[in-house]
Amino acid sequence: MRGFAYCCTYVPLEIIEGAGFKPLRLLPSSPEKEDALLDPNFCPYVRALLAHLRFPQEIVGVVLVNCCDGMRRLYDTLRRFSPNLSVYLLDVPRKSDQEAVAYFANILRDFSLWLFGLNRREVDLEELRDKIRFYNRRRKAFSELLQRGPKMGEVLRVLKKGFPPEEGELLKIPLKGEKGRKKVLLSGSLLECEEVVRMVEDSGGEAVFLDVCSGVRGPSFVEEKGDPYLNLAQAYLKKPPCSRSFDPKRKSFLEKMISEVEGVVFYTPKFCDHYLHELVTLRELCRKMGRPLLHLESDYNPIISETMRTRIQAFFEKWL
Amino acid sequence: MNLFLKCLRRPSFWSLLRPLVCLYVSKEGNRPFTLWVEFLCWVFKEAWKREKPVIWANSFFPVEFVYGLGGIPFLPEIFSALVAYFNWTRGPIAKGSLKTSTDLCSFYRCALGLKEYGVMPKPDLILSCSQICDGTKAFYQTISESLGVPHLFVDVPFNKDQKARRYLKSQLEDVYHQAKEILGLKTSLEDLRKSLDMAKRTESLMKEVASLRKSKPAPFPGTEGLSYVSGMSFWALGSERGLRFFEALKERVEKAVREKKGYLEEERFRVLWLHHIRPYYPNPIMEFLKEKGVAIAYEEANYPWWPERRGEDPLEDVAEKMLSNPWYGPIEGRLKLVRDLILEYQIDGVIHFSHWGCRQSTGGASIVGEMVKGMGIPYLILPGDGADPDNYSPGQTLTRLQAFVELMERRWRFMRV
Repeated sequence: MRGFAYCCTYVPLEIIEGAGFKPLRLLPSSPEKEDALLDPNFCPYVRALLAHLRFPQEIVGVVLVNCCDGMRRLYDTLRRFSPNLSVYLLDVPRKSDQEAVAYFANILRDFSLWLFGLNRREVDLEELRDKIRFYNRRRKAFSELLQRGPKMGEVLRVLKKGFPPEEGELLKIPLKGEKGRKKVLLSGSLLECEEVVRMVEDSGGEAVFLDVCSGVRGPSFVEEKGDPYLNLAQAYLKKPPCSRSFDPKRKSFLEKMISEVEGVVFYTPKFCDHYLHELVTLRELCRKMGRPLLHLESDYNPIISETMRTRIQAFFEKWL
Repeated sequence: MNLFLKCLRRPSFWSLLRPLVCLYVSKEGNRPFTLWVEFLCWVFKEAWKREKPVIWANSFFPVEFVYGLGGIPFLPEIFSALVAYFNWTRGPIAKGSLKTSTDLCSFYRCALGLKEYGVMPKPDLILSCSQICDGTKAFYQTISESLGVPHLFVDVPFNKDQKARRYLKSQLEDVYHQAKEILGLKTSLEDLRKSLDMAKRTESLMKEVASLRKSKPAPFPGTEGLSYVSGMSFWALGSERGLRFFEALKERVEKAVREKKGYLEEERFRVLWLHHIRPYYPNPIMEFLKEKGVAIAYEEANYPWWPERRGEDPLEDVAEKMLSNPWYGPIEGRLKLVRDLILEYQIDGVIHFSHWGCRQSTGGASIVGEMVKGMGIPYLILPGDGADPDNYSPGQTLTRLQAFVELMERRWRFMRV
């Protein structure tokens, strides 16, 4: 099966797989970045994606999401400088009301038509429904694992390959050991480095929530009966919101998570506008709720830096 | 300092200041500028008086919609630019940066700081849209949460087809009715129509000004185009004051064209300025260009991009305007605009001002550059900061500008041969 890449949790993998492609979550393992075609004051993840996709291997194309200025400009740049790559931009609404759901359902229908066409196939709704059922089984298995309390560093390692993870992968995830560790919320944008989570765990913490783009942000269930596009649109727009969405649930969601932990680690790639603005709200929430906050900014590097290690250690020593 | 800040919050201060400052600036004989100052004094007076609801909006939110609702619009992004013009941004930016990262747009960091000083009239409602950058929604959402003020948001789709138009229009309808309900307003769609009619009349003047500015030598300085002219098109469209301003501007530009009088003594090169802003704090960029005989003939910020309003359905017209924005959507829209402007304004060189913290515009700078260079036109990406004077390197900036002028000279010699 040929690979088709994606970068955001708002992309329904059911459609990619239904069209006969293998969905591949793009998290380049190399920290190499493209600096000539995009300004240096640009998201390092986007620049790493561009470096990776200038000369793509083993993928037919990529679906990007209208999630940020970085991705929109990546879409423009790829179409111009990687002409052999099929690129699609999914216009995901920022709202989740009925009008937004109806609009997104139409967007998914168009995407599906394009993607099936790319594989020279007619759109097969039964195949799509079948994939929805298949992914629901995976989601169920994953949520059962979450109930049992897995080691989040390992969860992140598995989730980096895609959400929901394959059932076989879940079996390899060990459960948390000793009790009495300091509960921590790991929130933010893309967390590319599972060592950060391991470092939190090694410092005496327990990552209770992985509220990051590469973490637990997918829908928990997609309705199986009825119009598959409408069901997918509904499920993906109602999933745990990210800071890009205009959803009052986001703040209450943060509040609820903060209330259940003793400290917050906020992780963002540099120049991530959505999350750097959210930092203002998060700081205020943490101040009001009396929780310490550590903000880590990364330059997209799958290996943890020594500075970051020291900061995490210091955070635990001083505050937790 | 505290006394000064207190004064800024009093409507009577602005009532008193208005005639004095207008008299002072009118000595320059620049009527459009006088009208801009008069407009600002009026807005601040009305906003602090609080007789009408104060509505904060982002620059690309159609301000005629706010006038149509019967509110007083307040645009924090433009207010930050004003503060930068007076070179007062250091304090607010430092305050704002404490809350977030210095990598964010300095206009938003400045506005975050200004909120702490309490010099912006508190909104009764915030209206924002997703155009044209990510900072917009994020900033206003943060402000709404911290002030506890309702925030209505318009999610402008990236696509521009019929489905996108329907989705956008239904949101505008919702926002219109919700805003009226929240603010307890009795205004009708007829009021909105009146405001849009006013905008339509103003737009035809804007188009005439844009057309007059194609003349050689350049009749109007781009530096002014990038400050109060774009300020008025963002803040005053749909109001009587906006109409009067553009009438005066047209008169001024028309006179210069009639007299074949350029704004520079000797115009050697004509430059197109890309990006909606320039550095507003004191800096030698514009003076340097002037000395070298480089005229900023036009700036993309002032291009009236939207189609003529049909007037049948006011919300349909607003939706059409938003969807036709060339800076939002695939980059081809902006490329076409830049190409057309280069040809129509007989441009010799293009400067892309890359404001630190702006991903929306700078992200397209390379693609735009590739096209511009393909047309044989010198192109300069000028990194800088529109609001933060501490994020500006005069030496490097002037060296780049010098090299750019040399490129234009070389091209000119080559063309002569």
